[in-house]
Amino acid sequence: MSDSELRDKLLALEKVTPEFEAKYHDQMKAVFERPLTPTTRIANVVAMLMGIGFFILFSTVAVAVMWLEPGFPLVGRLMFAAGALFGLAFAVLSGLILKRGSISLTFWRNATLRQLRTVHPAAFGLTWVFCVLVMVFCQMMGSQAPDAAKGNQIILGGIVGMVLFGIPITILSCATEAELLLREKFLQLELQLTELKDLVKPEQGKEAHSKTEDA
Amino acid sequence: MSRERQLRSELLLLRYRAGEESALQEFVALWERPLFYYIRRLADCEEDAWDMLQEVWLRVIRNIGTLRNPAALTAWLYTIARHTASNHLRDTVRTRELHDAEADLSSTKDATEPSLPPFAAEELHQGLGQLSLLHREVLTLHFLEGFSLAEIAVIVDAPVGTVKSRLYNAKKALRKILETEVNHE
Repeated sequence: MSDSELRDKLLALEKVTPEFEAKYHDQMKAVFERPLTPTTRIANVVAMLMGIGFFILFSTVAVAVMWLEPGFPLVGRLMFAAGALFGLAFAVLSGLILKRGSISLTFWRNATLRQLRTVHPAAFGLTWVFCVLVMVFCQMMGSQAPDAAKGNQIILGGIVGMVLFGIPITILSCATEAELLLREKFLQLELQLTELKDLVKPEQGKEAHSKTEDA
Repeated sequence: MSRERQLRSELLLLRYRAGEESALQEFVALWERPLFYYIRRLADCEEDAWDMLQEVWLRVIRNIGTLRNPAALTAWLYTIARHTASNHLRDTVRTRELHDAEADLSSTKDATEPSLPPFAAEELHQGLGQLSLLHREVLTLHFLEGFSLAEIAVIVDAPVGTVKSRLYNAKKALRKILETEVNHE
């Protein structure tokens, strides 16, 4: 009997009480996902409605000022557009949570750079949204500044900010992703080789056995 | 220890790190049976063993980022399982450990390479239940994952020499139990 066979047989011999096992699985489900309570459900409905409300309000104002106030600063209009987008994002997120009926906990419990030593795609995306918003804001402010030298300084500040925050996180994110991808490919390859080896082994055993019988 | 299972586990952890949340659930499903089997050998009752297993997973999830060497993953899981079980059974384990440590030392001198005649898995499973706690523990680790002496030493937090003699004594005790049962039949 091989080690693996013995292991499988021993595991199969372990008799468990279905009630205890079911209780364990219920508790584990709670570890991975927390079902929405009536309060959190209401909070999510409110968040979704508020998100939709903000989206309608800000997008309406952003479009309306284009017709009613042609001289309204572009920065202001962009702010309204950004508000509308955030409202929409909130509405979509709350809607998804409501549809799922639970909040997943495990990933967010661990999704810190310190623990996972990686840049989570959400963190990466948020950083870039922040960088682009700051950059656009600086461009707008710079181009509208009465003093050209001051305006250039503001634009330059925006570029420096983007370089300081956006570029390092991009490099870090790309490096982490590449490392994970490479390791995953190596592991997959090794796993396939191991599986093939396990497949070939019994065949070789059979051949050796038949040769012995022939002899 | 199965290389395939080790690689599969590493892959799942890698996917979890990359943000694939379901990978952790697959990982738990892959390891919950063997870990339960080990914990059950240490726990006094089944209900406690399930509670301990749940606690093991909480600790694993909390500390997964601290695992430096993915190749040591299996031993790491069993180490966490042992710490959790020890905390639950603190008083009883300590007294039994003391008793068994003395028994280990008494026959360290003749600790040559131990071997067991081929017994059926059912007999081994039954026999394990009749061993002392520490003997049962090292043999379970040996049978279940085929851990080396060094790996078992890390898990049970004891010197390799102690583990070697403990394993030897455990096999001797198990053989005695199984042979007595065969003679009775």
